[in-house]
Amino acid sequence: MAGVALNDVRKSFGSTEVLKGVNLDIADGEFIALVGPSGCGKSTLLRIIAGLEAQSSGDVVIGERTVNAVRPSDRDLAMVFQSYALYPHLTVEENMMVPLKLRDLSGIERLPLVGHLMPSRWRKMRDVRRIVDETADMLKMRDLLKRKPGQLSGGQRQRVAVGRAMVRKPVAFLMDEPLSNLDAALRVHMRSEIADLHRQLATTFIYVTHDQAEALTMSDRVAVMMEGELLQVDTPDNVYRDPVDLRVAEFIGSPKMNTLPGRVDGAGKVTTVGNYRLHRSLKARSRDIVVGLRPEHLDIAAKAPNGRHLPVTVRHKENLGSDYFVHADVDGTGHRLIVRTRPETAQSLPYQSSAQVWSVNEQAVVFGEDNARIYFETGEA
Amino acid sequence: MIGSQTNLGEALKHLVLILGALTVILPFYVMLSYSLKSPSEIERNVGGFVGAQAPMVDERCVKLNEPGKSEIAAAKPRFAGRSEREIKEKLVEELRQKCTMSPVVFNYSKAFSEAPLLRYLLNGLIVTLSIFFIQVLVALPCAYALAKLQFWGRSFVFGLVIFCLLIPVHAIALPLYIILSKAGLTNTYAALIVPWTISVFGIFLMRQFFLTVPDDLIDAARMDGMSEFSIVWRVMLPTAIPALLAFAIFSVVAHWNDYFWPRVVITGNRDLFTPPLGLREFKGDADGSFYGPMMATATIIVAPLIIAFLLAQRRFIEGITLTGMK
Amino acid sequence: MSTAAQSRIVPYTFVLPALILMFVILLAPVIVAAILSFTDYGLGNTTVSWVGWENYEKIFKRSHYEKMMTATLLYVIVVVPVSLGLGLGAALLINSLRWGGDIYKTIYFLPVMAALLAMAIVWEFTLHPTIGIINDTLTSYCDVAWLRSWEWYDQGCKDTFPLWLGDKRYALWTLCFIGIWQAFGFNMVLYLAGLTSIPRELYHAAELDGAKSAWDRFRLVTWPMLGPTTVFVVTITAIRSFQVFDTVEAIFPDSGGPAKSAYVMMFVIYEKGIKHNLIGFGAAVTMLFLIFVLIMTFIQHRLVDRRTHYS
Repeated sequence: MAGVALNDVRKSFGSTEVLKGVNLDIADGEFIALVGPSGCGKSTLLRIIAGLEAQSSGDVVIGERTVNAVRPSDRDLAMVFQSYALYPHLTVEENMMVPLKLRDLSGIERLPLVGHLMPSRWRKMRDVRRIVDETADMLKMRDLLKRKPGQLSGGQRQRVAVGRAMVRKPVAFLMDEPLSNLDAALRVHMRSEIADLHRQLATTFIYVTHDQAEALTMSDRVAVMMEGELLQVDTPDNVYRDPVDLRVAEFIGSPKMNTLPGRVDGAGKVTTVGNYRLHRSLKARSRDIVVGLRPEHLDIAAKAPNGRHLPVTVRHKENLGSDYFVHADVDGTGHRLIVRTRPETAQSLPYQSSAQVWSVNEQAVVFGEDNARIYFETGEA
Repeated sequence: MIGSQTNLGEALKHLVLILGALTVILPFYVMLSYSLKSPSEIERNVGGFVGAQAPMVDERCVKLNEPGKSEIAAAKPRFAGRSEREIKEKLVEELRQKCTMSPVVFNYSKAFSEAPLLRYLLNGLIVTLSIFFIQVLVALPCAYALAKLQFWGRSFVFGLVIFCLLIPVHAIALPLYIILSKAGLTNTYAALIVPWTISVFGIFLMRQFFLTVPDDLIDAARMDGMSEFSIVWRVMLPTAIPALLAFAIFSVVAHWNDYFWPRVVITGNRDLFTPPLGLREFKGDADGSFYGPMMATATIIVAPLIIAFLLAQRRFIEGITLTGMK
Repeated sequence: MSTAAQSRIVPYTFVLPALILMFVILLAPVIVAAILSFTDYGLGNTTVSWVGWENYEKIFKRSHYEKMMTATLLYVIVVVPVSLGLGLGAALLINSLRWGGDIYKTIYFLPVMAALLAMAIVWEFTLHPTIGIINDTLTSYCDVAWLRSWEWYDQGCKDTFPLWLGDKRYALWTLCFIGIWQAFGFNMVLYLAGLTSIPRELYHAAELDGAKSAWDRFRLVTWPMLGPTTVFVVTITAIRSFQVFDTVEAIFPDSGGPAKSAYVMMFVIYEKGIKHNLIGFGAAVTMLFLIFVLIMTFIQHRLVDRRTHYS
């Protein structure tokens, strides 16, 4: 059990800098999701933590140890690969025994024929089998033990990969997009299973994914990474509600947050497209800004309840059963807004009809042209 | 990091590989080197790689052209006043001068003159190319039919192909020889070529390849009015060039180097010898002084494929791998 | 002919030449051989009679043919594992080099390209007891003291170094060496292809599971994943080894080796069946040969079936 710390980790491939000085402190027992679009460097970072790749500069610290020069097999970590990397020629049981045999049996005991003659081997193998059985029970895999990976479904293989990682009781689990090869329904199911597992084991989980929903639903903290830099590391709630960077705000949340260009005047008042104004004042003056409005913070109707609204034309409606997402273009501009609304409202708005969109409770997040967050005067974001 | 990245490790690996390479190259070195040396150098094992290339006297040439009575008589006017014995000595001296040449020339010219090596090389070319050509002619349509056409008995034919893969042609040399003998066809080009015209391996390989060609391509050709025959040669063949190339390499190498079958089937007619047969015959009546020409013959036989290989290594190795993985 | 009828016939016209050739050149001769193996046929003989199992009995009873079986089986048993091991070893070494891999690959593959007959003759010359470069080189170091402390070397300096091909104790092993020399480059190429198809992540998984030494990685990932390649290599090498002829006939055309120590099957078929015109007997040896090949291929298929485990 240990925390993992990354101190100014950099990595370059030739002249391309893939990781630009990553600093991260992961607490012991924490489930942290490393999330970002493809190519942002998150998998590289994970492999550097594992030791499968060497960083160009910076330190990786596990517990109290700086492990830069320590080879992967000595770092006491376990990894679940995207492709699971199960040994195809071994049964599930044998797959799970591999880490234990490598750790506990000596070189001679491991030899194919001669090793079986060593009496100490029998004793050790009994313990190995016991651990494997316990792990299989925990993952409800008992009936799969004698099968080979080729005979298993994707979800089953995933569980075996997790099982193989668990048997050694490592100080941290590294997971490289373990769910991305599964179909949607199975993915949702496995998310809760992995989260359950984390609660049971209380070990550090470092989980890499490009799916922001996975990151939000499973983790204690989310680390949003883009182009080799960590933009924000915070709880899922905070990353969602209080993004510090425009890119974070756009990446997190589905559907994507609406963004409209705007301007803040000398008095701190915000004006955006279609001369729509916000009541609250910003902590900035006389700048061009970007106003972010999440779909659930907007509403749409044929007629807005009070004066302030954006005139739109309805282009498309997404029926999600419990809600509708209405896509509408702001008149006179090319900007498209996605608004969450109730089914009755959406059904009452025909395609290509005119409607009005307004912000509910003025819940907006504002960013400067440098992508940095700008806050409102009154305490709340 | 995984794996041996140490410089010492690399050096050791290279050491082992170099030792292996030396062992592998040894016979090639011997062959080439001794094809350049004189008989005395060969016997005494001196002269480095290329030999001293000191002019040597071809003893056989001298013996063959030894001046007889008539030559001595004819030379009398040139050596007025000398005895017959002296004239003969002088003539032999002149002869020795004429029969002097560098070892390289000696070896390689003997290689071509002692036996019709050029003819043998030509035979090798004719046989190898004919075999490959007919193999393709037979295999391609069959592979196409098995891969893309539906007909009753298709699985039977394919099963037969698989079964025939088990029969190494060298193993059935004897009955084939009898059949050919009875038909009076031994000592003919037909005997050298026909047994190899069916390459079940080729059929199998091409079929595997053809299976990957999209049906749409073929349907489009049909709709354009192409006959099935044209489809094989105008549509399937171009897409299968890599596999065909691999097969070509396989076939050409195997048949240029084949010794056993020609040995069985060419029993009297030297004109039909393939290069390995020619070399073997050379060895048959060689004495000590003929190691040089023998090595020269061997070099000439082995050179074409080796040079082709060196020029196109990647292709060769890819080809062999492709055929292997199937 | 209508196009419908035409298109029904076409497949058969495509397949017919191959079918005919398969029957005439591959299948019929097997049957012919089978039948002839029970006779005392010879080309040009006026009479032929049925002799039942007599030919087969000769194979298993006469000491000559015991030597044939021994020589052939020994040759296969030595050449297959060694050329496999060398091929695999070379592939592993070359695969892990930082540079120069292509050069070694080319060199090691040269023997595969060169006509075996030609190279056999060159080897014979190289191994000549007196003027061959090997014995010559060995003799030239006879004044090096620490080499002389090796008994075999000392003996060689005192008398002569071995008659590699003339001595019945060495002949077969020397032939094995030549066979291995010729074959291992091919196996190396196959293994190189096999190695590149092993998913790298398996090695990473092995590393994280605690596999630290090259031996661990080899046992856990490399060797199992090369399974199909190995089966293929073994079968091909074995069948080719069974068919060895060129080296034996070139070097021992009349004897089949000193004391018949290299009296291999193909040589016997040629000598007895064709040179001595004992066709019936030759056919019997041919049948035996075919049975061996069939057994090996059968084993290969079973092994591949049992080991198919890929996801």
